[in-house]
Amino acid sequence: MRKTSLIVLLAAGIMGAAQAQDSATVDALATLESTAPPLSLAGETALSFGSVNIPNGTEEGHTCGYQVNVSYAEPGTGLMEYTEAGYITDTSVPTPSGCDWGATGTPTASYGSFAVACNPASSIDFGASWTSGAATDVTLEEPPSTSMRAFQSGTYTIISSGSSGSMTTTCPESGILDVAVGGRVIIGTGASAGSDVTVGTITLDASY
Amino acid sequence: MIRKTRPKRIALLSVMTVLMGGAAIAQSGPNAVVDAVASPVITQPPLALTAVQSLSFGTVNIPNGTETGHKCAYETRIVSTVLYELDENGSAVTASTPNASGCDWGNTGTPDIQNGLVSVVCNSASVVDFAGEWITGAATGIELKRPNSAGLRAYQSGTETAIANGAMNGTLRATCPVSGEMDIAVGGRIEMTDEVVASANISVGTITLDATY
Repeated sequence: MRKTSLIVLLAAGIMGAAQAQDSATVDALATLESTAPPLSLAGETALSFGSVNIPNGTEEGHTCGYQVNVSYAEPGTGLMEYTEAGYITDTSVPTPSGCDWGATGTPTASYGSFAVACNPASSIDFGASWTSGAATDVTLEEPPSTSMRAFQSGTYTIISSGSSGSMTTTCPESGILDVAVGGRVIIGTGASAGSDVTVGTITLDASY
Repeated sequence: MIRKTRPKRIALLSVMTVLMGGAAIAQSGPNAVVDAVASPVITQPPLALTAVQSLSFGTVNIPNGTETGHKCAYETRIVSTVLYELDENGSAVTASTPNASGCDWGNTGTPDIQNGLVSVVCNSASVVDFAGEWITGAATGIELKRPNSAGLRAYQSGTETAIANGAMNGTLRATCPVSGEMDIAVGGRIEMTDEVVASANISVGTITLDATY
C-alpha cells in the first residue's frame, strides 16, 4: 500500500509543472553577399612554328604541313607532305617537296599560351578555335591529338589535356593556371618567305 | 505541420538553383586570342647534270660488203650487249656470229663497251624525269640511235646499285636518293654501212640527257 501511494504523488507533481509552460521566439539573421567567381584570360605568347620550308615545287600541288602538339616543356612536333588531293605522302625527311624545319632541320617551335585566373576547385570548360590569317597559301588548323593543355601556372605540371577544340579542367588552389595551345600550319608553293609571318590566330574561350 | 514545412523547403531550393544558374551564365564568355606565327623559307631544289664519261662501243667490225646493203648494228643496253646483221630494209637477219657481213665486236669477238655516264645532283626524295636524245654525228655511214631496249638506267651514286630502269622510248623516271646524288648510265645503238672508214675512237654522235622535276 505504501508503494502505491508514492507513485501517485509523483505523477501529480509532473502534472503541476506542465501547467507553467511558456515559449519565446528569436530571429535568425544573415547578411547575404553575391560573389562573382573570377574567370579571366590573357594571351601571353604567340604560337610559333619557327622556320619551315615552303614546298619546293618539284611535286605539283603538294603542300608541307608542320604540326605542334602540346607535350611538356618541349613541344611535340611533326611534319608531313600532302599530295594535291590532301593525302599525306611522307612524314620523314627528306620529302619530295623538301618539307623540313628550315635549313637546320631542327624544330624551334613554341606554344601559344594563355594565363587564366579562376575560382579554385571550380571546373572550367575551355573551347579553342584556330583561324587562318591573311597569308597567301597558308592554312592554320588544330592539330590532331593533344592540341591544348592546362598547366599549373608557371610550370609544366599538367592539370589536364584537351583535343578537338575542347578541354575541361579544375582550377587549382592557386586560382591561376596556364593553357598552352599547339597548331598545324599547311603551306603551299604560293606562300611567301618571311620572318615571323602571322599565319593565323587561336581564340580560347572559357566558362564555368 | 510537417506537410506545411516540406513545400517551403522545396521552394527555397528552387530559388537558389535559379540564382546559381544566373551566376554561371554571367561568368561565361571570357576569351583571349594569341597569334600563330611561322617563318616560311624558300628552298631551291637542286638539279644539276654533269657528263662524266662517253659512251663507247669499243672496237666493232664494219660490214664486209659481201651482202649488198647490209649493215652491222651494235647495241649497248647498260648491262648487256647485242649485235645484229641487218638487211637492206633494216630488218635483223641474225644476232649471232659468225654472220655473212662479218659483224662482230672486233677481232676478239668480245664487247669492250663503256656506258655513257652522267652524274646528277637532285633533291632527295623528289621524282626526276629524264629524257635522252640520241643524235647521229658527222661520221659517214654511221647512225647513232636509241637502243631497242632501255637506254637509260639510274644508279646510286658511285655504285652499281640500280634505282630505276628506263623505258623503251628513251625516258627514265627515278626518285632522287637520300644522298641527293645519282648516276645515269646511258646505252646506245650504232648502225653502220660498209661506207664507214675505219678509225680509232671516232665520234659517232652525242646523247643529250634532260632532267626535270
